[in-house]
Amino acid sequence: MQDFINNAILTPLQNLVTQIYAFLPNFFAMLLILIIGFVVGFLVKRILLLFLKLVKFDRLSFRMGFNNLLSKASIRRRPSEVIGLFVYWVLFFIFIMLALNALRLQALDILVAQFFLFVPKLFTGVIIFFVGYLISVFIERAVLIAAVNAEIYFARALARGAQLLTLVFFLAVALEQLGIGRNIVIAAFSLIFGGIVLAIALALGLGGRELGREWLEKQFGKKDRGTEEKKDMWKHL
Amino acid sequence: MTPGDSTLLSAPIHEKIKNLDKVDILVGIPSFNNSRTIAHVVRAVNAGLAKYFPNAKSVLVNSDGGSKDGTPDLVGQTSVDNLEMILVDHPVHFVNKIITPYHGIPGKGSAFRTIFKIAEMLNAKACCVVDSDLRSITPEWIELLLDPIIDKGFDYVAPLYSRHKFDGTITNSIVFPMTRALYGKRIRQPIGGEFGFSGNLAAHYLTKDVWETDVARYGIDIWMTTTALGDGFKVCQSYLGAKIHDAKDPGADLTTMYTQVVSSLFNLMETYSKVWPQILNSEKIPTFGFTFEVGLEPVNVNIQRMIDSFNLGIEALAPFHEKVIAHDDLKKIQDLTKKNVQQFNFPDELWVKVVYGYAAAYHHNIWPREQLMKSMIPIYLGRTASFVLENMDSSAQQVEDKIENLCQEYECHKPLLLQIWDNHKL
Repeated sequence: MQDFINNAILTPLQNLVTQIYAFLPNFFAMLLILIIGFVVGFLVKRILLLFLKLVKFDRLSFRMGFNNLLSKASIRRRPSEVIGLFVYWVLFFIFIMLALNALRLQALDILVAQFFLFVPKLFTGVIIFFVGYLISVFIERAVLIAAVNAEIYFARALARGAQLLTLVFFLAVALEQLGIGRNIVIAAFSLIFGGIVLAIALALGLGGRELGREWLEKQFGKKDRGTEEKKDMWKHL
Repeated sequence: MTPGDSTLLSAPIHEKIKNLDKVDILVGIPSFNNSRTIAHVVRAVNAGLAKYFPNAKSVLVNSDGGSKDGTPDLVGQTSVDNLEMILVDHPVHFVNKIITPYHGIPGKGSAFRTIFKIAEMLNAKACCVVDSDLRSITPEWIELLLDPIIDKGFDYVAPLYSRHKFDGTITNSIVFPMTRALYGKRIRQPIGGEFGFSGNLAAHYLTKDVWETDVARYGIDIWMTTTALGDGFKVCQSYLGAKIHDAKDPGADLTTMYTQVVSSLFNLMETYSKVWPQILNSEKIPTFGFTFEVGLEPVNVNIQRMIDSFNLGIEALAPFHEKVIAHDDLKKIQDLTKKNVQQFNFPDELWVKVVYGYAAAYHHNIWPREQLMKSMIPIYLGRTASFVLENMDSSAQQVEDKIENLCQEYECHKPLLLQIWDNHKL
């Protein structure tokens, strides 16, 4: 009976206690890493916010159109706060992974190792998309203003098209970086881009021959078609 | 000396300057493919120098932007025939010529920089610059631009012309009234193209590091005028008569012209941000020359096209305008898009508020500046269309009176500018 109690209850209990004792330092290490992660994340966020305030990042974001992206996503925070929170959570997430690694559990070790292999790609992908968005906003504005001043009546659609193309391009590059559906992304991008070029070529070739001819004549100086508008012959300066 | 000054002139030009040593008068002619008109301009300059400054040692400087039509050769070959017909005295010196390409950003400003440099090296006492596409220049222009410098101690002579009532719309609607409201001097043609200036002022211009900006292009005229005003030089203006250019398509590059001139004006507000807020009203400046009536060629203005551009711009660029123009004012502008041509009227006060709003937005850097300036062009076209409609049957004097009213609106709303300059909130 004593043997039974020893083998069935006490030894497993002792093993459990031994394992818990062995696990406790890892657990406390995990907690400690989490606390350090929280503190580091908080401090880095504060320093980053101060720096962003110093370089007037919110004003720059407004100029670059980042605010539009936030308002479209119903985010009411200032751009600097969003960046601060993003960096905080990225850091904290990294510390969560480190904390899980401290538990020294084999299944988690593999997961953590894979995560750390993926982090640089994720970061690069996010940055590529972010920069791409800013460039697309700049292009949209530039095309819109140029088209309006060139008296093109579908200026807004043209500008949106230019922005969309730029975004699709950068999205494709970002997804390629992440290794997500690599071939599909490239194929889709090639198809969309090729399709647009073909559509423009067909539209100009079939529907817009007259328009194209008039434009070319205007550019290269043939003026006897009787359709040309009278030019404004006063000086602005 | 600013960076790059040493590379402005080639070794043979340095040698020529060394041989000339010093001159009393320098006349600069910037050029680019002006073979049709430059010979006339050179003849007028030569005759003017011989007739009015026969005892002065003079040099004519042609600063060329790489003409392919033989413009510099024409400058070299042109002389005045029958000079004795217009002269009482024989000139003591004949006019020397320096013909040089300019370096730097292609544009009138870079050409002027080379002229200033040569003026400084030759220690010229009085200088003037004239456009190379002028058809209406006479020898008297040279006297009118140089005499106030030589005999009356002025440092800067702005031109005063008779122009068609619809000519010079950027000048009339922005540059003249705003320069007057900001700096308190009523210079009627601050970006006229022809100017007289002292050797001291030429040397002063060279101390400024602006040659990689819009000043190197169309911005040079407003920059020269504002620098003279802002740095306290003595300014005056001379009436030259009618200004007739070589026929070109003047509306061809409105976007570039507008952006460069108005950006330069706004940039200079930052340079002289300690000067203009102190000035509360404006005064006349000394004016020389004999004013007379001239016949001016009629001009063709396509009002409907300007209104169409205005309507398109107001509809498509609303997100830009919302950040620059106060809500109520923008509403008034948007209401204009619903009017037909007969009802279309852009009031002076509204226009002044738009211009001041843009000046403040430029200062506060709310958008990339080039985009900001270009977003203003449709509004400018709307205002111009309204001005043309309003003055279709007005005489030149009535138009001048209306420009005077606009100037007073600019002056009267200056406190608003000061307010939004410090704190741009809409």
